[in-house]
Amino acid sequence: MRGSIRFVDATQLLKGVLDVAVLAVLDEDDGYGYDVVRRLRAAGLDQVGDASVYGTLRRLYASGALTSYVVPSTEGPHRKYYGITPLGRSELKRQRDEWVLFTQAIDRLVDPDEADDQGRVR
Amino acid sequence: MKRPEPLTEVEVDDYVQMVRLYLGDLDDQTRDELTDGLPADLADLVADHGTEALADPEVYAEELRAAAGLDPRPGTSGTDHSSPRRLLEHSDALLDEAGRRVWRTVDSRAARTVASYAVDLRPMWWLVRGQVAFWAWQTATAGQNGITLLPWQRAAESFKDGYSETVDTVVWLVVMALSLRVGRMARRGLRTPPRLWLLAANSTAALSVLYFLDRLENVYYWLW
Repeated sequence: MRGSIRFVDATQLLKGVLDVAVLAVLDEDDGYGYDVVRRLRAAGLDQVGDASVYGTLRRLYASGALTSYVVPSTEGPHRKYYGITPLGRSELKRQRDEWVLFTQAIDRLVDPDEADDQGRVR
Repeated sequence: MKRPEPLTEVEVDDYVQMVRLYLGDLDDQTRDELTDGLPADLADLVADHGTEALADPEVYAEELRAAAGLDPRPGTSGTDHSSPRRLLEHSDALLDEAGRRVWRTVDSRAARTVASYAVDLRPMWWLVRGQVAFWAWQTATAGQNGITLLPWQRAAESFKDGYSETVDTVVWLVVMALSLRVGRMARRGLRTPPRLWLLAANSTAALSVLYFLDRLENVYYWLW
């Protein structure tokens, strides 16, 4: 059977880093589900699906990385806000460090010259 | 931010009901946690991008549960097709696909509203199904005599030997409770073979309703 080349799929990449992206957004300020989606998209993650973000929020909340509170609305359904917990902050730091190491390794592989230049500037 | 029209709110509520339907196999607490706050979030999405932005509710529910780290719904493509239960799982997949095709054909605002009401009215169907089972029992124990809505309305002479109003009442309570229990279990998602049995039982019960209503002795008294 012939193999095939898989090109970089931003949607697949996103799945692996959505936790750290959501934690980073909530580290700046608390937010409700769609607000987090908007902030992720504004940061350039256009392909992020809202259901993926809501599911991630619920999972991070269940793991203790996030806290949540309800803000009633006089005009419509209530909003469920999420904020980051100390556990979430330490998890964010750990994942940030991992991400930096990972991207540096990939940079060296896909663009060694650029990576060398950046290394020299640093 | 633009405030959505009231009609849109209804559409969002119907959509959330459909998503909850596809999360029916989860326990109530998990389902509530997954969908709490969703109406407000979706109202914002619709205000930004219109109702076209609402994806297929089944796909949406799958994405939601996958991101939340929960197992796929029983009988969906996430199951292992290499196991010996492949044939049964294949029938699950066929039933799912049939449901999806019907839904794609009828999908509209009106259909979503009807589906949402149908979900709310489901416990009423469970009671009707229990009642049909009771009527089948009455028919079996009373021959050609008429059936009654409640067990204690039955004439004493219509009981065969060994049966009484007390037995009827116990049977009535048991079949009603069983029907409710099966309904609650099925809401969480069944896989074949129970799913096929239930489909057959439900179809038989639905078809039998008219037959039994026609035989019901005091139907006019209860309906008017």
